Amino acid sequence: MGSAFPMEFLSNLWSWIAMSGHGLTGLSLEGGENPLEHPTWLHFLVTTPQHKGLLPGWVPEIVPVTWFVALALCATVIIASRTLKVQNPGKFQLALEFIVTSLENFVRGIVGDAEAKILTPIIGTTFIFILSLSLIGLVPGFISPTANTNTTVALALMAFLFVQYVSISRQGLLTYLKHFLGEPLWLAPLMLPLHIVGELARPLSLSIRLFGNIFGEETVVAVLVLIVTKIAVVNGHVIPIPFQFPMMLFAIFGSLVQSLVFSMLVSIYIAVALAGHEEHR
Amino acid sequence: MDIIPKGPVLILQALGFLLVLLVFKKYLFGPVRSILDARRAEIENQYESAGAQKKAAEELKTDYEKRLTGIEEEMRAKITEAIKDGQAIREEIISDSRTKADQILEKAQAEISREKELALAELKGKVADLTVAAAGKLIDANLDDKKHRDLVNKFIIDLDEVAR
Repeated sequence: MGSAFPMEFLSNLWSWIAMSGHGLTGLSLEGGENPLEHPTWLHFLVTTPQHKGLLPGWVPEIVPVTWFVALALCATVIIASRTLKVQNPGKFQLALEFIVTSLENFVRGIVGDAEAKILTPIIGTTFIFILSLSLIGLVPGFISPTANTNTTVALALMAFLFVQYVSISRQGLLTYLKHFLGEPLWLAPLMLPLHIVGELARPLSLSIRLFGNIFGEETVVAVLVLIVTKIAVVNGHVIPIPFQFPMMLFAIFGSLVQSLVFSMLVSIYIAVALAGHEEHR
Repeated sequence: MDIIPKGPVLILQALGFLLVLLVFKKYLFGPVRSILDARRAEIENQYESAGAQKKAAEELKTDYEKRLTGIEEEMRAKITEAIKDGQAIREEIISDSRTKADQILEKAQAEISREKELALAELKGKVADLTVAAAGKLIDANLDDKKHRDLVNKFIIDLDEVAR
C-alpha cells in the first residue's frame, strides 16, 4: 500500500475539489446533521428526539457545557484560594497573581485608576469566562458555547445593561436621557434615533462578532476533520491525518483575541459612560 | 441549528456567568489583591525594620568605638598618674633622706662645737693655772690665789672680746 497511498490521496483530493463546486454537500455527516452539534461528554444530560436526558428538551447542549466550565472555574478558584500565601507562593499562585495583575493593568489602562478596583473583577471574569468557553470547544468531546448565539447574546446583553446602569448611576437619569437628544436641541428628532440605534448596535456587534469568529473557527476545524474522512481514504480505511491541527492552533489565538476584544470593548463602553459623567459636570 | 436565541437559554447562560463572576470576585480577585497588598506592606515593613536595625547597629558601633577610645584614654591617664605618683614618692624619699642627713650633720657639728667649747674651757682653765703659777713665780708675792684667778679669768674674757 506504500506506493498506492499518495496516488489514492491525490485522487480523493481531486474528487473533493470537484465536488465542492456543488457546495459543501459532500462534507455533511450522514443524515444531514450539523457537524458542530456533535454529541459531547455531557450528552447524557440533554434530551433529544432520540434520547431522554435529565434536562428538559428546550435546553441545548451548550448549557451543560457552559455550566460544566463555570463549575470547573469556580472549583479551581475556590481550591486555589485556600492555599494563598503571602510568603513563598507556589507556582499556581504565582500564575493566578500574574493573571490578576495583568487584568488589573489592562482595566486600569482603559478606565483609569479610580474605577479599576471595582471593574477589574467584572472585566476580568468576562475575559476568563469567554476564553474558557471558546477554548473548551478545542477539547475533543466538547463544543464551544461561544459558537452559539444564546451564549454571546446573553453576555452582550449583560454588558449592555451594566453599561446603561453605570451611565445612569453616574450621570443621573436626566442627564442620561438628555444625552440621547444630542447637543443642539433642535436636532433632537434626528439625533435621538441615531443615538438609540448606536447604543443598541453595541450589544448586537459584540454578540455577533464573538459568535461569528468562534463559530467560524469551529466550522473550519470541523470541515478539515471531515475533509480527511473524505480524501485520506485508502482501501476503505481513513488515514488519520490531523489536517485540522494548524487551524486549532489558530483557533487558540483567535479565542484569545476575541475574548480580549469583547472585554476591551466593554471596558471602553464603561470608560465612555464614566467620561460622559465628567463632561456634563 | 437555531441562530435566534431563546429567552430561557439566555437566562441560564447569564446565570452561569453571574455565578462565575460572584465566585471570582470572592475567591480570586479579592483574595489575590489582598495577598498582593499584604506582601507589599510586608516588604515595606521589612525594608523599614532593616533600615532601623542598620541605624541601631551603626549607633552601637559608634558607641563602642567611643567607649574603646575612652578606655584607652583612661588607661593612659592611669599610667601617667602612676608615673607621677612614683616621681612624688621618689622626691619624698630623696628629701626625707636629705633632711635626715642634714639633721645628722647638724647634730655632729653641734657635738663637735660642744667638744670644742669643752676643750677650750679646759684649755682656759689650764692657761689660767699656768699663768697664775708663772705670775706667782715672777712676782714672787703671795697673792691671794682666788684673787689672781679672777683677775686672769677677767683678762682672758677681755682677750676673747678683743679677739672677736
